[in-house]
Amino acid sequence: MTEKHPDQLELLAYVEEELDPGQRRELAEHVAACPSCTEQVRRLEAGREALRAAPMLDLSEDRKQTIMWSLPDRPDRWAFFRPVKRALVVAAPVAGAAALIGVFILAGTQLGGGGDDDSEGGEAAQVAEDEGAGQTKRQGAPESESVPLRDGLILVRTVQGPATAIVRALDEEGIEAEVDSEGRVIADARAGEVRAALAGRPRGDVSVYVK
Amino acid sequence: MRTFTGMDPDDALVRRAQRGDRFAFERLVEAHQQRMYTLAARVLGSREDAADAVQDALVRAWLALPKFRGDARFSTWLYRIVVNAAHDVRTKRRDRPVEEPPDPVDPRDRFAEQELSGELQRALDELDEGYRVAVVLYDVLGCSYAEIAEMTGVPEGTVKSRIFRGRTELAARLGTTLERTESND
Repeated sequence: MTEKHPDQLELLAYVEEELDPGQRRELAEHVAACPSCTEQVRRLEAGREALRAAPMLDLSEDRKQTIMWSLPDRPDRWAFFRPVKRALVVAAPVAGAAALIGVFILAGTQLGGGGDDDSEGGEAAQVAEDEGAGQTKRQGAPESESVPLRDGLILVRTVQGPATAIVRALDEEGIEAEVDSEGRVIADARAGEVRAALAGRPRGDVSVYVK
Repeated sequence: MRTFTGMDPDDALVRRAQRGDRFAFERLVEAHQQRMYTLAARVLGSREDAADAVQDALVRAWLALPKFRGDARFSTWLYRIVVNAAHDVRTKRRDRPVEEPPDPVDPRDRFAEQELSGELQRALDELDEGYRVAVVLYDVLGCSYAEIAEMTGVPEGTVKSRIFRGRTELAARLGTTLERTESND
């Protein structure tokens, strides 16, 4: 047996099997011959086993909901889009509709990337004209309606659904989307991808724009 | 200085939540609520206090998220906030004059309460708070020494020392409890 007792960190490393084989062998010989260190090791292991047997605990569903509802508003980082929202309400009123939600295609670099329907304003408007009347609710002439919108946001189509359902639908299609602080859905994808992802899925009213 | 290297599985949701996406934040909460609540409950020894600490921590996290730079894993950052929130709740609890009557509890909460009334929790409650936090993070949540050092703001050597003392004192208390129980029989 070595004369010197191992310190706390060495004993912990021994119990956690973090020592190299040589160190471990040497320390094991000491522990086997030293009642004091044997007791320390026993306690370390007993404490570990008691703690690791403790079950994980869950918050109640009610509490989770309460917490989510208690989250305060952050300073609005999307204030940039506020004029767009106002324009949307003017340009695309929907009788009896729930809150209008805009879906924007924000990937400016992608828009110019050569997709069929995801280039600048004119082609984006063409997407709207390509839509059938049954599944898609046209909002009149897209290009004229787009005039009040800032930064070339063009109405593509109107689909239906609460914001979270829209996000979930897009998420299932692998399209990253989010709800901004004003309840609008922001999607980072090409117009065609969004159109395909939302086809016939959600309910409620939401207008889809591309930039 | 970026201390965390590697892929954080929460990264995509964190980026969305940073931009204000509550749906993404809700998914992060769902992913971490169990570990957050377990951490708070084991540190505080009370279901209600733990839920308050988690709620407080999540509000703090939501507001601070835009400033999160990804220097550590999101979970490490989040649990650090829980540790601080639990500490604050414990401090407030000391000033609480009378124990408030418990609210009606659902079965899952009742289970949690039972879990928190056992010998293990009583022994944990008797530990120094630093030791208790260290052993809960290491042995219950499975965090690494480095993560615990990051969360608690102390060097790794101190973390290991606290784990050593926390475990050995816990075992001694549990052993004492068992001996007392046996001698009473």
